[in-house]
Amino acid sequence: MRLIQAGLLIICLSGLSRHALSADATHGAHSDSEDSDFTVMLIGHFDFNTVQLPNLAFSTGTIKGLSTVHASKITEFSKGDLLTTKCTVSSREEDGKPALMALCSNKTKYKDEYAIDCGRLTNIGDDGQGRAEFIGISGKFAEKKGICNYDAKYTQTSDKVFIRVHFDCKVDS
Amino acid sequence: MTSGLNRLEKIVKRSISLLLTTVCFSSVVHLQAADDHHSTGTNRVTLHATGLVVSSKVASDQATLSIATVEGLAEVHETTHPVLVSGLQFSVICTLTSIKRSDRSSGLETLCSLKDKFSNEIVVELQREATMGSDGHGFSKFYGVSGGKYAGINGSCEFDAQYMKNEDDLFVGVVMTCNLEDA
Repeated sequence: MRLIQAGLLIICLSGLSRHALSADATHGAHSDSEDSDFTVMLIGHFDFNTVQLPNLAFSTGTIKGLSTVHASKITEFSKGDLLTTKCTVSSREEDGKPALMALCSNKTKYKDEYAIDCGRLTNIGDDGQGRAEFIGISGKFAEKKGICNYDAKYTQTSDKVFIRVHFDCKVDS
Repeated sequence: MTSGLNRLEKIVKRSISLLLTTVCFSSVVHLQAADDHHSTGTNRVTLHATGLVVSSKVASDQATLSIATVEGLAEVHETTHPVLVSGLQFSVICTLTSIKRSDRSSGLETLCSLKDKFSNEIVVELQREATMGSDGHGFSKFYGVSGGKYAGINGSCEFDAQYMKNEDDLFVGVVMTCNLEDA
């Protein structure tokens, strides 16, 4: 009797863990972090130019698009809010060592503004993750500060390049 | 006295063991039922899309015809579908037509092609009573294109579109929730 019950328990527990694993796989890569105060997804049109020399490359670009609030614990944002986003981006690669800088301005329809200051060791056009600074500029974001983790991915459509950036931000209390 | 306690201990242990087995089985049966629902029934998927709108317009006294293309990206956000998983991304190209006549309501029709990085394609047909550039709610049809990964996945959707101007460029953000069935 005990052996049968132990066997049934093992089968049950393995079944439960399988369900837990498959649920994780289904909900995938960009589950919003529980630690963050808000998560935002930027999708923007990316326009850039590069000057390439033998040991030096310099690229500059602009991103224009919309940011959608995916989740928020702070009063300044609600899930589903849309903001316009404009970024200037530059990257310089010298002797095989790239460095990228980007500054993005985000505005609500009421012109409340915050900026995101990004930097990572990569070139323009390379997918990747990094850390950024959240800087409140005006309106309801004035005086706010924080830190964001982000994940950027480039995609080409017919003849245009678009970027998708997932920001996961924590605001200083 | 000691043998009485031992007997009581055995009864308690067996009861706990039986209870655990029952709870465990009911959980697995419940989860299995949920899985069966998803694999054979309807799955709910929410897509967030943003695109750059390039439009042109011809107007007369009686009517205004607008056409546009929208290019951008879409991402699966919330999902119960085993193939259309969260975080899955698509490049999006749409064509839009709207005609507004002075004597009747205007219709906006849109056909979008969504492709993943392996060029597996989905087509979405959107319709609403509106003019181009105006925010609003509408209905759409979702078709997985034959020959690809999404073949046989079809369904109906509702969406909200919101247009925003970013300096000289016009963008549209769409949140679309679909109930999908696998053929």
